[in-house]
Amino acid sequence: MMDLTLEPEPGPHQLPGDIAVWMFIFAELAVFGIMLIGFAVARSLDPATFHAGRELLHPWIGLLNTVALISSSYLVATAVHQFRDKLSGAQWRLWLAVAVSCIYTVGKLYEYVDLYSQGYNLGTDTFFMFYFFLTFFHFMHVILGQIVLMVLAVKIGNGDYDGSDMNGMESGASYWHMVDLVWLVMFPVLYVMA
Amino acid sequence: MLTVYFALMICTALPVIALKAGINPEFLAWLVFGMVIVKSLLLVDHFMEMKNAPRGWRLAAQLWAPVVIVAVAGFHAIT
Repeated sequence: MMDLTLEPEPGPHQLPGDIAVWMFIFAELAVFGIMLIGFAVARSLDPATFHAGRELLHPWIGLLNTVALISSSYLVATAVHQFRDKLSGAQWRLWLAVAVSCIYTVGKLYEYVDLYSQGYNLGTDTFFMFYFFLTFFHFMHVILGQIVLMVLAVKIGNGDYDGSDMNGMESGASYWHMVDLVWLVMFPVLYVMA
Repeated sequence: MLTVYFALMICTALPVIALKAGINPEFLAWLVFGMVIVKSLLLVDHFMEMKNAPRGWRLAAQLWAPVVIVAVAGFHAIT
């Protein structure tokens, strides 16, 4: 027998989260898409520069960042399920998601410091202009996503959310998954293909 | 959900394993493109829960990564 106390998953033809957040997500995806295609066009015009630039990156850090963001997304997705079903554990999953995603922020900062100390910056060449611009733009989105997750975790802890209204939780989670989705595409384009 | 997580991890690890096995770089690039499309579809449908969203929204979310990857792969192929 169905437990009527449980908040159901978004039903058929129901958008998870707020429609305004989804408009924002699609606007962000469009911007990232245009920049990634711009990167591919620039690479096709000067493949030697892009190949030389890619050689200076740290693919293992990129791979570790990918694993961290996927793991973090998994934790957020399960936190949403726990919260919807009014089960305990949503709050610590969100905190753990933030902690795991810090692997990404630390890894990215290490890469920036390493490249900058070697004299590479936005003005070095076309590859590094794209690399720093794309990855830093994404990095800022990760920071914003981490703040969103922390706010959600604190609100759950304070009892501001009781699971009856999933809008805030689903909106925050959707934003975080968007950040992960962008990295899934950006990582191979920058670290493998260039 | 855990199955999707493991599938995403396998799709992430596969190109690395292929690289270590000394696979042809050109084939590796196409393998990576394919894996990215699979991963993006899994993420959108299961983690984002877009499998229950209105068809247009779901399609838009699902198509973003393949459209970008096809464009990038197109420029990669002509280089």
